[in-house]
Amino acid sequence: MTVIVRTDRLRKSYGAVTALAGVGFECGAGEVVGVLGLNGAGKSTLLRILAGELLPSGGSVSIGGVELGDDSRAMRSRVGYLPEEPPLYREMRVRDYLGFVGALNGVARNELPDRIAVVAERVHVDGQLDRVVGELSMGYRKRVGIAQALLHEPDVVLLDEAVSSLDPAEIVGMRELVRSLGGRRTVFTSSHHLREVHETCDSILVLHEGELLAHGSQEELGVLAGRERVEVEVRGTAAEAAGRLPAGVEVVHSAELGDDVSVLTLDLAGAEREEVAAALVGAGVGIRRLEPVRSDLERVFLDLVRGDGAAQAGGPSQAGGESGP
Amino acid sequence: MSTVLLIARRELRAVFAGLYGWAILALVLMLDGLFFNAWTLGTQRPSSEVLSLFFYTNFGVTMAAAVFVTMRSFAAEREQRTLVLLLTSPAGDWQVVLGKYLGALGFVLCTVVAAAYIPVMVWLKGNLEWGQAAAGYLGIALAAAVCTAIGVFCSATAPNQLAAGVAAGFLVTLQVLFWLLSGISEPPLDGVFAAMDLYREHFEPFQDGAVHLKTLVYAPTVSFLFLLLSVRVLQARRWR
Repeated sequence: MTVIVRTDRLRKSYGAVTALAGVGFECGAGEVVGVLGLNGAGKSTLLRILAGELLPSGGSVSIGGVELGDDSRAMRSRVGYLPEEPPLYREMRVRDYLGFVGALNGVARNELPDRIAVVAERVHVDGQLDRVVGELSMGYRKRVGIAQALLHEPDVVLLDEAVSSLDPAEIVGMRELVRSLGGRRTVFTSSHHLREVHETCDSILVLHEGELLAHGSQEELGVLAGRERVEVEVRGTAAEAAGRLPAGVEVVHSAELGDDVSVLTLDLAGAEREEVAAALVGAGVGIRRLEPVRSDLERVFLDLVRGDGAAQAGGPSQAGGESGP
Repeated sequence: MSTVLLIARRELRAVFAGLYGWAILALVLMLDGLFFNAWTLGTQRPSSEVLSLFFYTNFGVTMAAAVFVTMRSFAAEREQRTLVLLLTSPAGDWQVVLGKYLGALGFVLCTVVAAAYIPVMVWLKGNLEWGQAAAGYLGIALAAAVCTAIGVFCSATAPNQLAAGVAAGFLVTLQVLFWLLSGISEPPLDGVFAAMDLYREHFEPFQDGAVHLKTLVYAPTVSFLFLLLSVRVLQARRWR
């Protein structure tokens, strides 16, 4: 994995209030990263530091190998940022606005018209280019906001609450758009909507009271929360299979599929998948299939935030992150 | 430099895009015209005195225009949450401040140019002294540069446009009233206050056709100082 964003012991305080308390993580090129947390968790502060709007009180940030302290202007040129409220000049036409932002970010004058056309088509505002920004709906404003963040082809795109204030149809469109941005560039998207993160992100950062509780894929977070679930399809009845499980493993759900086949959803509660498989095979239960269940993000998130999950899993570093000053 | 001009152009267009800029321009023209009408039309004053009175009026009106236009500068961007666009761009804080400053100064100078019909009338109907006119306009430009820098600083500092306008109005007025402080102060403070006075010390000679070197130093220095403070305010915002 090519690391494109790296933070180490990142701290930010607003007077006596600590917004970030030693956050450290690495993200690879092309990842779509969800930033989850309750209000005041430090999500926006993290994005504002990555965008170069704020300077950290301590620790380090680098984007594409450029350290914030060395040359914050060079770092800012690698980032496109859409705050929760799109920074739009309402009196300007969309085309003029994008032209201004593109030039501000160093796009050559002769390249601007083509670049605007491409980005506008990508975010579906190509039909709105000659409209005044102030006349656009919130959905289009968000899209224009994303367009301005993409114009200079940054390595990293930061979207703060990109779906807030959008109607359901606009949310679906925004979800597709965010998903499509991944692969070519690293995208950070913060959201209160767990479903958005669930559906659009490759990995997730969970922040709570300024600390990074966990960083990893949804499956990895499930492990961190001590709640990994697997679905196992077996020969025989569900009751027979349930009786052969290792101690502590709970059956969350079971069903008879017919033809002497049953399926059980198991909460491993810290046990290894291999233990489950060995116990069943050892008892003569035929296993047709055993695979992890994609975690219910809401449950995982709440487990982590309540503090029991990270402690059980030995801390976030197991999921690829690190925290603590 | 292209980034500075880019920001300045947008700033200037933004002022003229709404009613606000045109209203300031109309007010400037109205006040210049009213004072010209009241003090000089129908009198037998010599052309040099008419021109001096015009510059006297235009000085005050231009100061007010600088305060009104700069109160928007940063404060409006903060209120509309667009300042983040500039702060997260690769533009340096100096470029942002200088762009804002030049845009606002450009507008103020537009108001000065718009009121130039009065000297033209003096030229057509009287005996215009070109040296006095050039000196007067140089003085106006230098004073506008100072007041615009003060306004930009206040706008960068104040929480909203109204507070920015009040603060800028206070500081600009203080600049013009330093001579009062000079009159009640003991040496060497009286000299310091006198040297800081924008009108008596640094503009009055210009309106009568005299160009003083000390003003050519004073205006850029004070402007630079307030712009430097504005940059520091922006930098402090990143640390807050």
